[in-house]
Amino acid sequence: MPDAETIRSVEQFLYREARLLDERRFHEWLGLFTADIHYWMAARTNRYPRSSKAIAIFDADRYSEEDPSTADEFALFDEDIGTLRARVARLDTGMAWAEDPPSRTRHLLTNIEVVSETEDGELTLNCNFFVYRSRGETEQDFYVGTRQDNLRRIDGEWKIARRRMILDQNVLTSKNLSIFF
Amino acid sequence: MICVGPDDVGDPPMPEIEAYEKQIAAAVRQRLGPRANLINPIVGTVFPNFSLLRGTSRTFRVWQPRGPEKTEVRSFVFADKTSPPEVKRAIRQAGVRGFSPSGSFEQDDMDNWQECTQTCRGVVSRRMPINNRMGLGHDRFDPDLGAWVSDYRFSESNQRRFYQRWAELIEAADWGSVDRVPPLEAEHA
Repeated sequence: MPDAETIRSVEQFLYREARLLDERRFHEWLGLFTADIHYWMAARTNRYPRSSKAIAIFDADRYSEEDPSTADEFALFDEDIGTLRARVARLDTGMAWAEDPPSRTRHLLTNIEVVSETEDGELTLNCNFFVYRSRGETEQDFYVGTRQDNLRRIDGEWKIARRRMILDQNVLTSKNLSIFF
Repeated sequence: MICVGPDDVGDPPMPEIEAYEKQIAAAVRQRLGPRANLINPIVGTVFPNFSLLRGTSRTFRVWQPRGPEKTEVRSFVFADKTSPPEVKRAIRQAGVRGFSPSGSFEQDDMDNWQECTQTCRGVVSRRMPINNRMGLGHDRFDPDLGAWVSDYRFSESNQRRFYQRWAELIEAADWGSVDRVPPLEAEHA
């Protein structure tokens, strides 16, 4: 378990990252990732529990209660460093209509919890997020969920090496995901 | 439906997919025979609410009405069952990155559709019929395909046929009086 100072530096890192997103400083934000980043957001489904009497499960071995999509299934984001850079480059083209005029966002992070630390100091941590997005005159969306990050210290700076996000919505009620998390 | 020529490529620009399509091209041609030359779809809709996209991604869509002014989009990515895992992964990622709620194309589309709907609600828009004349006069019925085609690649012939058929169904007194083969197609069959 990392010491209090390390945890505090991680928290400060995550809050600064959230602020960079809200201030639309996306090029600086890209600098926070490692070259091998996998940035991924699950899609979700409605599932009955295995014990449910509402349905008949004919093949219990193949029935999964797990509802977020798995790594080999469809996702809402499935990005590497190249495609994250392409997304940011696209915003600079002047033709990214979903963000023109841009969304106003507020990224709120909470429940930051260190899950594990490897021998070479890579941290796995959970946090919950609440992202508010307002656009145009009165349009607004709430994106609420949880995520798990792997953070690695490179030359004394924290970098994000893996991000796995799960939204708490089955059918996405916002019209798109044109912002970052 | 929007098509490109039989030898044009509308595949997602990912090396795994491009190599795979090249590798299976001969087998596809052999299986389909001369039909392979008839059509190379990029995007299309099967009336009324099933759509496909083959260019830049491989996706099926179901547009599920959810009451006035609401549509739920059900989105699927499809791949050949026998394609290798790296091709399936590339196709899935092309779908997520191009045509999903976060996709670089679709996030804009959603905005466009919403704005189109709002604009059409306005007083001036409602005073006049919608203009669906693009490519008018370039439509013809292709007896080999059994379908309407346009020699004008960017056209609204699909919208014209969509709304004509929709009007036929809405105006019919009951299902029994609906022609199974629409009159326009029957004329040419």
